[in-house]
Amino acid sequence: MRFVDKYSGIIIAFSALLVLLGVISSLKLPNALLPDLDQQEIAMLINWQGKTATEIEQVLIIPLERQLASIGQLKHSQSFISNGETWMRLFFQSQTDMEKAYMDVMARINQIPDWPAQVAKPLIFDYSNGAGSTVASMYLYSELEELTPDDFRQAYRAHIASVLSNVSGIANINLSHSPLAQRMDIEFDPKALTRFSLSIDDVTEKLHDLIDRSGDKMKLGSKAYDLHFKGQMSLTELTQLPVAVSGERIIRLGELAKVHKRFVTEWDYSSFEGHPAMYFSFQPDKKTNALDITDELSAVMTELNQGALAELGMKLSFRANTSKPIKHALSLVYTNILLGVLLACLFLYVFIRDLKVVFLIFVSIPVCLSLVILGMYFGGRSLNVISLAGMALSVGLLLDASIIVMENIQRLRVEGLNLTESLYQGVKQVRGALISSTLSSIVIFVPIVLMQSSTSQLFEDLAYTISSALIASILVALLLLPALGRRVLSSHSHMNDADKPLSSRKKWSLRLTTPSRSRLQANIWVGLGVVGALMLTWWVMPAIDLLPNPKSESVIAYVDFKEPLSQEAAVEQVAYVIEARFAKERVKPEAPALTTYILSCNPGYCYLNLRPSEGVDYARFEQWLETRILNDLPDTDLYIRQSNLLGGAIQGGDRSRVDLKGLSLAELQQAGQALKDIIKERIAGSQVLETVALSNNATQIEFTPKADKLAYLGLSRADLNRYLVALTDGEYLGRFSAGNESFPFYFKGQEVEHIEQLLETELMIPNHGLLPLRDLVDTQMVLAPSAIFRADNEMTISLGVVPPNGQPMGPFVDQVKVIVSEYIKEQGPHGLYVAYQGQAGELDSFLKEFLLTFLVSLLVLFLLMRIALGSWLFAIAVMSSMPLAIAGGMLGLNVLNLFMPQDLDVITMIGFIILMGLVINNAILLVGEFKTGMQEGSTQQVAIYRAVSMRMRPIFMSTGTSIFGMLPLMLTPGDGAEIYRGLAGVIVGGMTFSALFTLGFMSALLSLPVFAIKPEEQKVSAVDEEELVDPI
Amino acid sequence: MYCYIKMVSRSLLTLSLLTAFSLFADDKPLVHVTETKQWDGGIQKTLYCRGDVLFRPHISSHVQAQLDWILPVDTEVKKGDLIAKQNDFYLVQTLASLTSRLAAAKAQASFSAQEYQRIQSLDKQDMVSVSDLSRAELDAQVSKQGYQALQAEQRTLKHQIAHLDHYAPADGKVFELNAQPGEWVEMGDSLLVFLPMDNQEVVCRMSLDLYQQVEQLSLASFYLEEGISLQLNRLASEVNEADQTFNLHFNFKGGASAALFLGQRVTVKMQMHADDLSLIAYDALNLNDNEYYVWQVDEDNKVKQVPIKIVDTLGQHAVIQSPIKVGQWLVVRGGKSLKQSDAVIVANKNDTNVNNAKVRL
Repeated sequence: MRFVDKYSGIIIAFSALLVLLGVISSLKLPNALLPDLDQQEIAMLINWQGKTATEIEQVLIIPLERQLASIGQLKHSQSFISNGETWMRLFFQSQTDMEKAYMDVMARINQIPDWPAQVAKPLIFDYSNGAGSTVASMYLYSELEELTPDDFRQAYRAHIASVLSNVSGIANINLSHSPLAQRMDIEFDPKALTRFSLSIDDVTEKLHDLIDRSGDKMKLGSKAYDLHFKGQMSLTELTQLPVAVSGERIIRLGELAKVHKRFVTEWDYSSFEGHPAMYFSFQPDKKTNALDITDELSAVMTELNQGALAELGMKLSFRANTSKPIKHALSLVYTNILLGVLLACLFLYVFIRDLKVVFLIFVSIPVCLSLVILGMYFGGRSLNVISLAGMALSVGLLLDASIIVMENIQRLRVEGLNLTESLYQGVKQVRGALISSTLSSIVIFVPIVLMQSSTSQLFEDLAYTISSALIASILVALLLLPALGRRVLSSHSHMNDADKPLSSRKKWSLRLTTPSRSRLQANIWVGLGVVGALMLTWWVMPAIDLLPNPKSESVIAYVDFKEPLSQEAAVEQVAYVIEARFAKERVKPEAPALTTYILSCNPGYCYLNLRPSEGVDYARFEQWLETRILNDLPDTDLYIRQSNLLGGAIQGGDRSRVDLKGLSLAELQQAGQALKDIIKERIAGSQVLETVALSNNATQIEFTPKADKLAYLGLSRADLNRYLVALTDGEYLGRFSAGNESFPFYFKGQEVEHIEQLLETELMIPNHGLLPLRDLVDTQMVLAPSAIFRADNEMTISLGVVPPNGQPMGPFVDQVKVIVSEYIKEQGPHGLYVAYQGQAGELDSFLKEFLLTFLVSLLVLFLLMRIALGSWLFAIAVMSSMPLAIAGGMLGLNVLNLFMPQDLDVITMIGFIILMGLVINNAILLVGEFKTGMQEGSTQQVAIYRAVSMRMRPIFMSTGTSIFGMLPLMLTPGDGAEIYRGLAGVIVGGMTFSALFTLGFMSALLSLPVFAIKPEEQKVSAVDEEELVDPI
Repeated sequence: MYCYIKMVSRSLLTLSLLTAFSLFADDKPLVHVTETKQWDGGIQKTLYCRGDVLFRPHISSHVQAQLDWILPVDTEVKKGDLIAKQNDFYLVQTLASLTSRLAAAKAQASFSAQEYQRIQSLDKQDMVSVSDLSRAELDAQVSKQGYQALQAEQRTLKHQIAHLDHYAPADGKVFELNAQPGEWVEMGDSLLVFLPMDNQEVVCRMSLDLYQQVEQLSLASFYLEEGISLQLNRLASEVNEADQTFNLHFNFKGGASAALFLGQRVTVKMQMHADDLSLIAYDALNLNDNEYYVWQVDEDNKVKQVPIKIVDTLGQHAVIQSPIKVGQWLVVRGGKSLKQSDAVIVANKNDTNVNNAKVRL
């Protein structure tokens, strides 16, 4: 204090500076919706267009899996193999060094034996480095005319790519939906080959290795000349390339084939508001400000739209401007913080009725929050919904220390001490208790931060902000408050308390301590407070879910095709129909207002992302969508939902999966179909989604060589397949350089319109002349899997399970597990086994970890109490007040549930751990005061009365300010409020319950004979009021 | 009380709030249909053929003589056109010499005959010996034979001289030359190969597999792509060891012909009649294990699963053999989840566009 006394001016000035720095830092902190979540995942995209899922699995994926199987720290892998493309995802343990893992993956990929030369190596995405996240996405389109992929490609390369890549904070532009890679096809007419009696090999052997080479030097005169052997040629030269001779005549390539470029991968159909469009998205660097990036992108987009693109009749538009929901969600939290501050201060004033004192206590808020922001700035954190919610939660909490200090100072002033001495003693007397109670609140976060599941990353910012705020509150209470008090408070005591009738406080203290004066009441209170509270907790506990479900403003619809269509059919039969319906229905007066919609279609499904206008009723909008736009689309399954702000937050997806393994594909499909039917039958309203189809639904035309005939003709199956590939997809010849670009180069037959045309193609068989393909192969139509799913290097059938409306994931998953176990036991084929992934797996692992963390937190608190109070008994007494708070927390959730859905999700669960750390302070102070009283010679009753009387007001004040500070978080609706509402509900409910009942409960508990220090002085009967010494 | 409130409020919320995931499906599935079309084309197969001729007659030399002149290869000629000429000088000289010898032989034969007559009359008077008589008879016969031989030789020479000019036996073309002008050709040597116009046939290869599938080849129709009918003339008895194909020979039916080059590759359609054939859109086909089937929609808009056999594919259609009748409606879209006798809603019964393709609005 003397130090404070001496340097009070500097302390005040420094605090003002901190506030200023805090404001400046807050402007520089990155803004995001959620904290940076390190997803311990590396994904790979493998493209092999024209190949079936079966071939890709055999040739690429199985060898790749074998190569990657022994990577260190690999937890789980999965591959989704469809025709032409595969996504492979590698999930690592939570503490994995992802940089090392990334390098390891890259090295192993380069060592895969027999990787086909024409297949590009996998494209790797390091999701731990933010690669998986998307900060924004755009569409390039034209309202005036229909553009082709080539038009888009040219416009993108010429005008857009370089400009957008220069936007700071952008790591990569993702073009996976509109890949620009092209290939060079020499498209030959099979009839031209037969006309000249040429075989495919005759021609292709002239087309390999069309590259320049060089030799040694040749010295001529005084110079050395490089020898350069031309092999490379231009497209024009290529068409003139001699490939065969017939008598005197040279047959040139141009007579047999045409050369042209085309895209390697057929684009998914994308449209923006009905206009064909090119889609791409932006991946941010780590630790960047999402709002800054979107603002810069917006400026660049405007410039392009007004400049180069306007001349081409094209336009860029955001698909999803993520800044809007971020801004809405953050501004909501800011509002909640301000409201919380206001409410807390109002509440304080009601109690204190002294503006100067309220002002002094209020000053803690800006100073503490500034310290928190500075801590976040230097700690590399971001301003997001979680960190801001933590700050909002701590508004009430950080007032506690100041309240306790001010209360003590005021008490001493009323007792007659002068201002300086009151300030000094007031701080000194409570310093120890303050520090220990604050530490106990902070230390509770340590187990939370040490949790290893990916879900627990959400809590780091929460723990950081709340614990920083508590530390800051101690510093402010112990240093700034007395320094400022010297200047603000008058030297004369002016205590509202002195005006308060003594009898009122006495009356309340007597009332609250009534249980301590009756053995029966005491036992009832203790029984109810512990056992009753635990039973109540169990009885009213809401259902468990993984994550809250904060809605965002967009609606998503999937139109799943029951069997794959061709890209053209998907566009014509579905996409165009949907677009036509939108054009027709939107203009009707009864149609809900729609801002934009985007549509994307591929052979498997169409996807819509719609943005209703503000104020639109979502239920009505979805009904309109279902009945007017997406109705009556044959052979489709329809899924509509409002999108979730936390959709991609957690590794493993936003649904639970049941993975079936151990058998052949046909057997797994059968088991999957049986389980799907059983689950849907036994859990009404549930959805069972097929990750891959449960039957072979892709029709293939299977070519089976006539083996004996091939033998007579001297052909192998490989030779024949090579011819077939050449006629259809094209034989890979190498790379061809044209200008500045290099393309993969194929010798490919002309497109055939139908199977007969292909089968009637004649091939020149060496030594045997021309034979039609029909004579070499048998064909039949077969059904094959359209996609294959592999998990952990095994063929897997995966069922995505979604609970019925309103049912949270936890109990639903339990039901599913029971059903699956019963099935395997009673009907399942031998060898079938199951794994649970996605939310089910994540929830399981989180619950296990949470339970452990909860127990560890309890233990830590218990040990802290033991140290602080010096007695195991008193530590037990303090811990016994926990069930009441927990029961209160559960009741708080149930109250919320009356007005809006609120389950026990993981963020809410953490609220209980935080709650324990907060309410324990009241019990500590009470027990501490009781112990002091007993040590000073008071009887048990008097010590209890004294403790309650002294601590009642500060307990109610600090609890009240905390509750009112958090109330806006709990009650205010808006974007993202669902994320933290449950958390606030738990803490508000728990603290309220604790405030109402802890005093009575602790009185009852401390009145038990076991807590009597002088047994001969224990009295069970009512205490004579005159014997109670007014502690004030 | 609390539980009741919770239950009611949850029910209300459930009813009124948005669903997390909603699966929307009509009770009656909506289907698109297409009409079964008539198919009169039977079962069609393609044969790979070439133009050929029945024979390639040779024009040969009747005599050893120099070839004076011959038409070039590929010259088209009419019947009776001169196509080659051999030199007649030596033959004419030989004929003149022969004519002289013939006159002498005639005189000799006449004298010998008169002498014999004289000796015979003397023999009646027993004035000559038997040997004299025999000798006179012999002389007379030898002379006569000699004369006749020379006569025959003269006729041969005259024939040879008459066939020194070679004429086209029919309308056609000089196909191949085996002798050049100025060349001496021996008797019997081929001068040229002639290709008569009316000698065309089409030779096709048929795989043994296909032959074994066809019930009766004689009942099939054959025609070139231009629609020209062919008639099966002959069937080879020998199958190629390597590719197991054998030849069929066709000539043109009803006096028709086609301008085919020798060796020209052509395709011939073989059409076989079959009952219960119809033409359906490819999208109507469904596959279940190894059986093909279609969903047929009846008058009550109920579906029936009908197994079919695909006999041919033609572009975006398939020719099937089945109980399906022409004009019946088949499901082309919306059939994935159908079961036997399901009632359906037909979206487009009046739309006869088989492909049901939507045009972009």
